[in-house]
Amino acid sequence: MKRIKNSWRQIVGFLLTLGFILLAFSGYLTTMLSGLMDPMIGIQTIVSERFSNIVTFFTIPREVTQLQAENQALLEEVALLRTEIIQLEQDLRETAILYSLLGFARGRPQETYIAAKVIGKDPSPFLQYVLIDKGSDDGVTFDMPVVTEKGLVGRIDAVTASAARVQLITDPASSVNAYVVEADSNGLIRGSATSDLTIDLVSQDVTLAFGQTIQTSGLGGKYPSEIMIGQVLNVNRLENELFQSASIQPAEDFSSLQAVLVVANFRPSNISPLLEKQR
Amino acid sequence: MGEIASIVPILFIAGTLEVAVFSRLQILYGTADLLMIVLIVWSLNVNTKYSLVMALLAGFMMSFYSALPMYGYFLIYLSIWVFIQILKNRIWQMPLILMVFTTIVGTIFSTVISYGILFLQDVSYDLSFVVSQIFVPSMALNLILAYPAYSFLNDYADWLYRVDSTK
Repeated sequence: MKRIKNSWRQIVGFLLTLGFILLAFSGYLTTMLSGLMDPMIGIQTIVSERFSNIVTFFTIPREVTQLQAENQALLEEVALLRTEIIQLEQDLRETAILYSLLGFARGRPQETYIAAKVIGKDPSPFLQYVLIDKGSDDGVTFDMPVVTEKGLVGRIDAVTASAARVQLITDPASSVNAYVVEADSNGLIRGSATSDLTIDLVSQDVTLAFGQTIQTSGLGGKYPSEIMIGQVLNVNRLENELFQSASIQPAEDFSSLQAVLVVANFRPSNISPLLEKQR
Repeated sequence: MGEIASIVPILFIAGTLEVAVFSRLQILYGTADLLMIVLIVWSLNVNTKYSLVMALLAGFMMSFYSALPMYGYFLIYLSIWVFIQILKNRIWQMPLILMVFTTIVGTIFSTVISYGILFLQDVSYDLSFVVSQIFVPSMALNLILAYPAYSFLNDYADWLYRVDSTK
């Protein structure tokens, strides 16, 4: 009797549960279930958040350390790459300069050159000289002409074993025999304290004009001929003077000289004994 | 002898900086003469004993760097050294004012001697150009450089001679 009673309770319990489930799935218990589920979800949310915070609390420090290490590594890599970029840009600039110098040297195959870097400038404000990093050990000797791809720079004034001093054509004591191509006339180029170039001793018979090209004439034997010097800027012609003169826009920017070519196979002629004999 | 040995690196650094850096930092056509400033500061310091050696070494060094004829820098630096010795012996001890004064006079010496030597070499300059475009800007640059050089080199000289600052 007792067993039957227990079985009935189980069956009723089972049927009630099944009915509850079926009613719930059928949607008849939605209102009741939502009232029951909402607080449960709230509790679930709170518990979940706290758990997440606890997990974060224990896991984040490790990640921060890792991130900091990664960040440091990346910063170091960026710094390294920046240094490489600066180095490459510098190399590129030097290559461009050397490439243009090479182009100039190829255009004049009869001459041999010694490439040199400009390492300093004469400390006296009265003088226009630069120092280069090639000396007698590299074959540089006194009075050799110095050029760049743009044109004439000057001549070697003093030499040590590993360096040399170059007198720029803009130096007040410098004079270069020049040839005005379009006017087919010779003249003498002089430097000045302001680094401006002037062509002087040009015959009054020729017409000097803006933009005319000026090259070395080769007269006097100090410089090879046909090296670009600059262009005529302003002509100074007075009727009562024997010669006319003109200011020149130099082909080379002497304030930013970085590399030069020393013309190695040119032997300058010393004509000063002849001039003294004439006197 | 320790001072002479310690002078050489100072001159080397100053000479290198002058040729590679300061000669290109121009105001108009004027440039700073760092070696002159170094010589002035070193000579004015009461503890240093071999400032004449410094003047000679500085002149020697600049004779290599510069194309100024007739060993002009020897003349410039030696005349500045003599001038400082006269001042040190006869005039009151106010090093900072004395340094400003000697920097101005040193620049005058430098300009006049350079101008004179080049004039003798048949290279003439317009006097007004020299004064307005070379002398005045050079003096300004020298005065700007003088104070940091004074601070650094006096500290260096005091360290070299172990001068007790509490005395």
